[in-house]
Amino acid sequence: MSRVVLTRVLGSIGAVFGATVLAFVIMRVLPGNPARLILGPLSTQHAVNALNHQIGLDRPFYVQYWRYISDFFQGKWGYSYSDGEQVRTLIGERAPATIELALCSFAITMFAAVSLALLSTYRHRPLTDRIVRGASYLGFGTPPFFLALLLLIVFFTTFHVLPGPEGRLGVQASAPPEVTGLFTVDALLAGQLDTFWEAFKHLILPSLALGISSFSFLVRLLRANLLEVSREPFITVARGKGLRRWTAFRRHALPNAFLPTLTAGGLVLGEFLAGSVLIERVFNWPGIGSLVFDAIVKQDYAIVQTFILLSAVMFVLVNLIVDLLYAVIDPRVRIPTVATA
Amino acid sequence: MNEATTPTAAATILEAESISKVFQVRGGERFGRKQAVTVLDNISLSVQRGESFGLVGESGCGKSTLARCLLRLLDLSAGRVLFDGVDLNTLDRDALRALRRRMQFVFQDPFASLDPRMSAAAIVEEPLLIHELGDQQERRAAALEMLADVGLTAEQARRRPHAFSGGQRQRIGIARAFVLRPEVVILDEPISALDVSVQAQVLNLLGSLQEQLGLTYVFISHDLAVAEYFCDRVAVLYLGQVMEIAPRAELFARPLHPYSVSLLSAVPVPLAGGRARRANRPQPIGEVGSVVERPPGCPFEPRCPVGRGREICRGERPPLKRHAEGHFAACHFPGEMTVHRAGGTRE
Amino acid sequence: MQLDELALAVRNLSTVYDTGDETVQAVRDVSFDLRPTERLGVVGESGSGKSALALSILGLIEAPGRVVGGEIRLAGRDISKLTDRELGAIRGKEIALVLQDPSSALDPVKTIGSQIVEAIAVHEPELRRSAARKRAADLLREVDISQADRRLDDYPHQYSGGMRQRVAIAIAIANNPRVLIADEPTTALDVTTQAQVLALLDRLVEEHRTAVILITHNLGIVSDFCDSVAVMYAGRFVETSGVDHIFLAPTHPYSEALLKCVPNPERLADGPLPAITGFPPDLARLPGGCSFAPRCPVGRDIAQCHSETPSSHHVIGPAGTAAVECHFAEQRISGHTP
Repeated sequence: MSRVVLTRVLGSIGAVFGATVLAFVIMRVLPGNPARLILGPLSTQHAVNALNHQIGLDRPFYVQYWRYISDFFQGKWGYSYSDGEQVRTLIGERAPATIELALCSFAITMFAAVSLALLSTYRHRPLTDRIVRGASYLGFGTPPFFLALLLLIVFFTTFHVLPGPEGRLGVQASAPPEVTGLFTVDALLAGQLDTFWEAFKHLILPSLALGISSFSFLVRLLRANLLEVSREPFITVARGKGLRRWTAFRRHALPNAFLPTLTAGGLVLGEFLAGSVLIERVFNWPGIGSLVFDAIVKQDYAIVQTFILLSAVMFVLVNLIVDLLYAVIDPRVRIPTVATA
Repeated sequence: MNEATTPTAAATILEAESISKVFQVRGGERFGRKQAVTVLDNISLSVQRGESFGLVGESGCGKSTLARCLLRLLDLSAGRVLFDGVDLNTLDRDALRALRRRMQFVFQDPFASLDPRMSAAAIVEEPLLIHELGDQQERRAAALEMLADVGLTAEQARRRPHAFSGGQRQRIGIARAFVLRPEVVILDEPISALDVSVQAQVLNLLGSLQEQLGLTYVFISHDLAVAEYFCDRVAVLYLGQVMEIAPRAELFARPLHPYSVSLLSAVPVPLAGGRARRANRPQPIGEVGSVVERPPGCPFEPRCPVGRGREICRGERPPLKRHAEGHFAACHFPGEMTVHRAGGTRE
Repeated sequence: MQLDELALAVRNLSTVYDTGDETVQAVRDVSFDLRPTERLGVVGESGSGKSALALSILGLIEAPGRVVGGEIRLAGRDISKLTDRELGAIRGKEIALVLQDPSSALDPVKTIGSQIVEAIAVHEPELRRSAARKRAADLLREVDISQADRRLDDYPHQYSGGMRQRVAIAIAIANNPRVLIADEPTTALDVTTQAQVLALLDRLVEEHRTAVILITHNLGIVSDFCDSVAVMYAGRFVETSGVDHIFLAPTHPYSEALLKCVPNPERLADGPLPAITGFPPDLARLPGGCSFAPRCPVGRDIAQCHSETPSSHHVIGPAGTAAVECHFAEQRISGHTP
């Protein structure tokens, strides 16, 4: 097992370094001088040179690279000239919104995918199966932002049951005292049940919109895996021992079917955490996605640079966790097979 | 190269001279490191023109690898294979391709070895296409004729594999192998995946085609009864080495190698009075060994009722020695173990 | 023997699979008796319904299949109408199952030990873990697996095929069942391993006095292992008899043809094997009359065989009685008697 952990961790570190090199090269290869962009087109050459020197753009490549990654890992993420704030502050302000949305969407998506997959495979129900498959096809084809608008029209405009595109809490409520930055969690910790409920209501529609295509993907994957596993002889053997149907399914079919879904789930979570610009736009969600989008438009290097690395690191981390979980669950990964001819 | 394409009249059509095949395998005890696994360990044998030569053995004996090496579907690590006197290693790609017309392969799995998107006729035509023989009409005609030979109608020839049963699919595979009129056909467990009653049909088909086309067969099987019925000579393999080669009557009446004896004793025979007979059967100890951990001496020694623990068996690999006309055995104590079989007369 | 003295008495068992477009008749009106410690061999090819039979007896037929008729009496008690929960108390305890493929008969992500313990714990939930573990180790030893205590914590992929099949057998006999149903237990194994596993099975069922239903396509195994045999074709038992009868005087044309078309080392003949023409029938579109008629060397051209389903004829041959579903059973058996 330790060998598995070691190789995976080393691999992850390698992946992160690969990402840093790639990000660095791309940024340096792009046309335009960062200093001039920062100072504006009317600045003097002298000012540009001075800033160049200050930022360190006149140093050799490897020095710049070293500064780049050492600054990043020390948390010195630079200064956003367009917003007038430390990048770290900006990201810190917006991250919790994205994280909360990502986690909520992930939970809803996984729960829905698992339930529906189970529903259509546990017992032979051809009609249910067909409905679930049909729903997943719909999900595949529908763009998330389109669904977002649709959901708003139905649940907000027409039926008034859920809040509109007013961000995380709307104008009336105020944020709970900050502990984690996740409004739902903080509200519960502070005992503010009204605020909790408000925060939660605001999360529902964006979570659904964000998760729809991943849901389709996951439910089909899990359904296929469950079907395959439930046909395996060891399930019959488990029943032959006298286990009840659900017990045999729960103990033997689910773990085996879940393994490939785990990997897919990791990818999905990573994707959510990276933020979705369109969903954030539609719901006025103050997340990282729209921050970075604006930064790109404004050519605000500092934010973009940091975001690239941040999302790479986060993605690699999520996958590392998934890999290690896999090794914990599946003994074939951590114990080599007897080499039979 | 003309050498490869011009058949001679020599008696030995296919010969393996001290061939070995080593695979680099990851994993096993040394996790992450590659390990050298010798799947074929210095094997020599020869196949005569027109005969059915059987290769029998259990898992790990290397028979499938050997089959592929004979056709040079796999490259050898040592030794050479001679087809009609020509060393396969010396052939370049074109010459090898020309050679493949004369030597064909039938696979075990009738489901996996056919392209599901091609019609039966197209599957059988494909080899003709690859070797650029005839024009489209001639190819189609040849394919249909071949399919008729194996018992499939022109109507059926238009269908795709999924419309056929296992036995029929295997016939398509056979038709594909035979359409080029090869001289040697290597059959890797051609009937193992089929039902018992269908096996008989396919065996009969193979037999009649052999007579009709004057073919030489190399027949790989784990089923000894089938090998005994079908083959003229049989080689018994264990963990990548030849244990015994003999004409079939010899092998099954007077097997010399303890492994052959064990193998034969282990085959259940459909005759009355079976339970009483079974009590007296000698069995090898333990399970089939692992190719990764092959012992230095005789590979069967750890399980051998005769040689287990004996120093010479443990330390020295027994050479393949001739004991009678066409009968070879690789054993330090050949003939010491006798087989218990039911009394039965050969008709 | 009285019904309640028999280990298993099956009467008119029928199972179908409804796949919307068609109805597959997997098991058709099967009846047989199994005495305590008797070993019945069920011989059939693919599509004969033999696996469906095994699952039907255990009540493990899943939708869209269902058992549509018949009685299954286990030591006198009819278990065919029990609920799944009630059957759960019987499976693994009174009737146990061993399947064909050892590589997929064990859960790959759980230890061997936990899977054996599970078989025990289902029926003895109050048993302490340590006691259950000890019994699991004893079972491993009983099936000739050395270093049992250590090997309990291994995973299936660390075992060879033969060892995995032994574990499957250990799981099956863990609670000393009255009846053991083994569906092609050695087909996926090497020849020598097969012989060893059969020898093991033989010893165990002797010691535990278990009745066995051994499902196989290999008549040689039937000869080695079984006391009686039932030949299954298109969902029916076309011939049921003592084991020697089937080899000395196979009465049903299918039994006879099956024996002849298999290369038999003891009866070597040169020339083509007398193969059975045609293909196994489509269980969704069975012809009227005897289902073997289209391929039968005897009845192929006889009108009665195509129109009338033969009932079970009881005949007496040189090696005992037999129940044969053939219109010509009596004529054929007298042809065999010297």
